[in-house]
Amino acid sequence: MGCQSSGSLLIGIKMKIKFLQLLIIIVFSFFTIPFIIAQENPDCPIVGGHFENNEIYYECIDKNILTDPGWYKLDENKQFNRLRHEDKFFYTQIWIDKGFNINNKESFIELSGVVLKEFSNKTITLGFSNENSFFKMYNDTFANIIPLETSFIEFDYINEEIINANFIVNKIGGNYTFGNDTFYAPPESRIIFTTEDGVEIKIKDGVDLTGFFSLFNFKGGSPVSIEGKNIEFPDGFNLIEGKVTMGNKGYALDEGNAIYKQNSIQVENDSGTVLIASKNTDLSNYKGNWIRQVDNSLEIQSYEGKKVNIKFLENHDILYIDSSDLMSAQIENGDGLIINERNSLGLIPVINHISSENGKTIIQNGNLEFSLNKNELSMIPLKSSEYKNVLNNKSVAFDIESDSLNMDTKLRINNEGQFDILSKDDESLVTWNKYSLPVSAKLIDNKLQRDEVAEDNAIFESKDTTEHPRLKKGKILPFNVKVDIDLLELASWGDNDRINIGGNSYFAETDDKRRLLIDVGKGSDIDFQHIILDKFIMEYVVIEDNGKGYYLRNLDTSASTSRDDRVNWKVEFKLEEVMLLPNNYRLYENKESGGVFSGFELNAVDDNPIIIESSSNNKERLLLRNSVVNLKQEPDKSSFLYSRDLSSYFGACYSIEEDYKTLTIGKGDFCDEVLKKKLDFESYAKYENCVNNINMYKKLYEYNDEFCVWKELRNTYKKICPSLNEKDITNIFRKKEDYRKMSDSLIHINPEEDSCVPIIYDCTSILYYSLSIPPEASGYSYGSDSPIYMNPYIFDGSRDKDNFYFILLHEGYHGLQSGEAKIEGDYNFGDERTSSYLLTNVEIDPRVSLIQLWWLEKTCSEADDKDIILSDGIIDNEDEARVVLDEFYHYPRNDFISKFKNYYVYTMLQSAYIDYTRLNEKDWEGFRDEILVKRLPGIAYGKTINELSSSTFAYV
Amino acid sequence: MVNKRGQVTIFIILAIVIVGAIIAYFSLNNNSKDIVNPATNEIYSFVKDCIKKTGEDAIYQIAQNGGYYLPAKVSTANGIPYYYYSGENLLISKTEIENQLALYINNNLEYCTGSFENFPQSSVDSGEVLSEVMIEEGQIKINANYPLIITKNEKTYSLKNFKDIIVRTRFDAIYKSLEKIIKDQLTREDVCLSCITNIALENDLIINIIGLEETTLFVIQDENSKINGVPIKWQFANRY
Repeated sequence: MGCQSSGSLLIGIKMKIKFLQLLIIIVFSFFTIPFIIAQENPDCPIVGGHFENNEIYYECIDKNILTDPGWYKLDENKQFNRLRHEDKFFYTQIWIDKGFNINNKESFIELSGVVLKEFSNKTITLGFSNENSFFKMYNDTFANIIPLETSFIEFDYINEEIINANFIVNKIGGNYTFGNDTFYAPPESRIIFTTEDGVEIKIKDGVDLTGFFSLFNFKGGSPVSIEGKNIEFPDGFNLIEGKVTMGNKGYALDEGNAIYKQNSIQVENDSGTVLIASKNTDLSNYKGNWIRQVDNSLEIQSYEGKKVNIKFLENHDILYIDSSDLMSAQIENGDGLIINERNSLGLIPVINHISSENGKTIIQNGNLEFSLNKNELSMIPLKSSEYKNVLNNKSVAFDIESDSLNMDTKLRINNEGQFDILSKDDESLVTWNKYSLPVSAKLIDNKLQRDEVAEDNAIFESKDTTEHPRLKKGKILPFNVKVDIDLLELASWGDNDRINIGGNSYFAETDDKRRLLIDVGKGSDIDFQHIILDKFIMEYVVIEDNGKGYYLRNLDTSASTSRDDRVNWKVEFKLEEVMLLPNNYRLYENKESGGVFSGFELNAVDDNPIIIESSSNNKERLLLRNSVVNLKQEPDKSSFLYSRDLSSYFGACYSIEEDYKTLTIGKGDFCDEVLKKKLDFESYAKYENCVNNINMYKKLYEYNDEFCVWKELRNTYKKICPSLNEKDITNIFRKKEDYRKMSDSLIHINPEEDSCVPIIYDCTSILYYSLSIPPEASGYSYGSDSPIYMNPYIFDGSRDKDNFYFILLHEGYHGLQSGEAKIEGDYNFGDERTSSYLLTNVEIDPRVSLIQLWWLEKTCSEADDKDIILSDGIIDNEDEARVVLDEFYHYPRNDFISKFKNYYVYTMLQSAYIDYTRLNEKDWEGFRDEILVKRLPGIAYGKTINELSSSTFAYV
Repeated sequence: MVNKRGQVTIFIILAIVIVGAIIAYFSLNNNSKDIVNPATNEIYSFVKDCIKKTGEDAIYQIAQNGGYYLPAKVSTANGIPYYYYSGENLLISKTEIENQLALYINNNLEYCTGSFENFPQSSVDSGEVLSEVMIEEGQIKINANYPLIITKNEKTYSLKNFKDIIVRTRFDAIYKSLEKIIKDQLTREDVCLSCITNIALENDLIINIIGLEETTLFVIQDENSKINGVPIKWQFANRY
């Protein structure tokens, strides 16, 4: 049948649908769907329409005749009772609140409270008019939808599927099905669906989706996108912020960042989507970045031109990461990583790097950064500005193997930021250590297993590490695992780090006496105060000679032990008598005791001391190192380099080695370090205690009032090296002086004449009042023929007779130093050691001149380039000293005093006074009376501690 | 006649060759064997031993100090020389190492020889030591000029040249490694660990690297080159 002209057709249609229109208007007035009934035998098939202002406009078109179909308004008398699609008619029968049938299919669609937005010969678009509106197609219901103008569902009534939707869910939320997949949309989330792009759900922040579906059971073919913040998904996936698309391969993070099983993934603008792949997904042809964590393995694969940014978080399933660790990786342009846990083998995890033609992988671990590509492994050194930011970051222990390295090697890093590059035979080729400590990366290989064993056997009385667990009586560590690598770690004398023995060290239970044999292998000279066995620390190990042999015990808090770097020595422990502490309870982390280990309670093992076996030579060395004060004056500020190692200073018995270390702040020091030095004025010793202690010291240490340095040095040498005679010893010191003569950076010594000087032990000494600012100086010498000032304010329980003697030796040795005392061309001591109190620090930075420190703090804090300013701030001649002193006196006191406590200012002024007068400024008193006293009454006149305490504080 | 002339020529050539060979033999022998008066032979051997011992000390000490006897101008606070400093090549030259070794020997030889008190029957007056050191493959060679006037049994002898004293060490291999490390470093800002590992493997060395904030210390350890049983440790520093 042909079509009529458009005018007559319009009239005809209007007439016929009048009734229908009326009905529709009624329906819409009740906020229900307009029912749509097609002409029974329309002249022109209706191909579309829309609803507007409560009226339906439909489109009638005959493709063969009409060229301008346009829209036609239905008048109230027209009605459709059915719509026709091509040659097929379908009927619409509308029952408000009951639903209707299409194509004679019962229950194909049910609806209520929905409005017609648009229709065509294939699709109908519906809106939602009220809170109770719903749309149901077969069993899939769309309800709980907020009635907004923008919300709609468009469905294809021919193919019986939803093809487009956009709506916001109300506060109840609900499940919605698109295609074969049903999704939970949480309250107030927005759902956007198209057949092309799948489902996108924008979710309100902080929603928990974990209970509703599992991604990895996802069956549908169409992806679902979810956008929002802090959304918890099943399978351990947490969208922190951004957009994720769920598909049958897994979660694809399109933008933002997410955490999946403690892997934090960041998608940047150009890095590309990262798929978090499900377990059995075939990724062989996947074109994009992906990661997958299954069982004990984490795979990370980047795609060409793309990048995966991943950070590994605390409590990771595969890597052993705690809160202080920092580890991340960027894998890009085709590179991949496979990280495997090896817990069952008692090994640290291994990272396998899979290289690609143009790929690159960067692994940041603690303060280390490695870069791998198909050709090489490199490390990116830190800039000083970066160093501070990552200084406290600990590293994560693992091995790295790479198919890219053209050699059979692997890199093993421990959790102290040290690493080894090992050969296929596990021999170290290249090591990286912090602070000159021997590497112990290999240690960790067995650590995991050891932890488990120890845990299983419940050897501790308390598992609470904060209570310093002790071994249970009769319990021993089950050292039945033979290990051929170093499981012994040594804690350094310094408080910054631990020391791990490398080389051939091993331990194992040796016999039925339950002795633990530790064979300490070769390594560098290190003294140590604590022995750490695997995760356990043995506290305060001391070596003693009781006349029958050398004994190691862990009672005394003062002594340290050492080992030889050339010959092995052995130590046997009776295990049940060894105090053990967990490894993570370290010296410098003990907050309870202010970062000092002295608070630990130790086992008494006097009756059954631990036995040391060593060669006679090593006995000497052990004694030597344990018994003689350190005279090696390290320039570096860091105590980790501060070794109580006599031999490195004096040389071995037959050696003429010389240590020409500097005696001042080193080049390696920075303004930052100076500024970090927060002097703790609260912990200074009390004057009253000092007076009482002196008498006790006198009795305890049996000290004389005079100390003859050469005599004592020779005695010490004879004790250490019995084979040396007087002549040999003299010759050694002559050689040292000869050596010193060759460089004016070295302080001369006079080996020819003895220097017998008084020992001053005076609690009223202002000097020591200032020096008692922690960390304390044990003694002091002004240099040539100076009395030895022993600091009476130190009484921390660690000093004993030997220690006292060694301090005298140490300070006495300074007394032998005379003449020009220049320091490696950097700066000078000045001609007189007495002036050096102002002009330089003395040995290590705690004893830096207070004025010098003030000046450094001032210049450093005002400096842009702190590296340069440190050297600028060091006063290296008397002219500068005068200038600085003058500045010091005229410095605004209000600021100054607010920063420093009174007695500190006082002691600084006093020491300034000493130097001021020594610099031939005659009129100190005039200066003091005219200028200083006006600003600092009391302080200006205090000269002794008594004056200080009685008058000074009252004024300021 | 022609034949006779030819035979004469051959004989002359043969004679020249034989004489030349004999001269060469003795001259080579002279180079490798010292000809010393028996009266001073003991002192001569003693001094040579001292030179060797001092040379060994020098090797150990110079290695520890990165090739320097006295601290280098650009060095860490501990006197370890920088070889790479913010892009600048400060690697010590091989010649300078040889000079520093010689300086050490010059200044320290007398600590070994002392006053020749081990030779009470002789009086020994010694002059200034001037030594020359050559770094060769697997060894260093020391030639020392050390004038000695020896009086023994009212006779006076002199000794001066102490040559070809060999101390086994692999300074050559270590120096080649240093050159490679620094040369590579000059082309990049990161530290090529696999390059350093290759150097360690190729030269049978252990390379310890120590991070000290901005300064990175390197300790190249040669287990194949020991002095008194102690491996040589060559130290230097880089600042990146």
